[in-house]
Amino acid sequence: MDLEEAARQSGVIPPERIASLIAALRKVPDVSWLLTQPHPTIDRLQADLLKDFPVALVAPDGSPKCSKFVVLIVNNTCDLQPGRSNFVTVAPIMDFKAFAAAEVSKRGEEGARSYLRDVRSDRVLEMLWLPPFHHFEDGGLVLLDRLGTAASEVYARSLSDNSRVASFSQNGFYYFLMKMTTHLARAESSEVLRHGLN
Amino acid sequence: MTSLIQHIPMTFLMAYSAAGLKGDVSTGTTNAASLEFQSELATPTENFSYCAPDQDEARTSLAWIALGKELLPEGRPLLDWERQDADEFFWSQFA
Repeated sequence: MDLEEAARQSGVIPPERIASLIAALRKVPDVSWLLTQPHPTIDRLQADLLKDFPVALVAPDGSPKCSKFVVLIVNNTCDLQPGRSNFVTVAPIMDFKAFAAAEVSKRGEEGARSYLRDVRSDRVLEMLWLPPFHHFEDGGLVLLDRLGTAASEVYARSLSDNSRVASFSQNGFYYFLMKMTTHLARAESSEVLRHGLN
Repeated sequence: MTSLIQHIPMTFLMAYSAAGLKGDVSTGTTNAASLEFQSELATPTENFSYCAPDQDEARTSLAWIALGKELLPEGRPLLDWERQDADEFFWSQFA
């Protein structure tokens, strides 16, 4: 199935937007078209990027750790609307420049090159690279496998504080959905044999 | 104003609307969104129109996966050392 056929059969992309999406996708790994300024009229959108958002994790010793990040809102737009879900799920975003510097410092230029190129080209399933935005001069790195959850009031306050720093473009949003789907719904290895056949 | 409709399951609304289509109940409308408006007796909930319409979800999901594979055919999971480095960097952001 080629891109156009898959896009047509997806049921997600309106027919009149398919040509535009295909043209954008053919530019990959140039993904400069992914992001826009925060949407001017719709405040609550899936994949919006918010600054200074608290993310908590449980450390190996069992203690909670919390820090503020620029985050990507994972919830579907439907569930972000007032009065629906009481929680919001976010993915923290790293500064790719700092990430790359740490990698080079550990592995050397040569040792890190191939890995960083794969990350930058979105070949790594657990990561989504974003073009430069906010204070991320060399782009941002979304860690799709480190999601955090916060009360929806935190999200509401964040919106009140004008913390949105970017939204995804229409085609960018489709790209985001593809990355999420590929990450979460990729096939399990045939070496994994589960009990029970029903 | 507290929204009443948000506590009514979508399945109920659909069934209620479908019953209206068959003439079993009289609501003045056969449209779930309009029904919501009437139930609210004020403004419709802000969220209703942002929820996805019904689709053939199995077909849609498979085609969506196919689209992702076409787009990123060389996609791969993190190698062990890459994951270890990423973890280390990630934890450093909590210091």
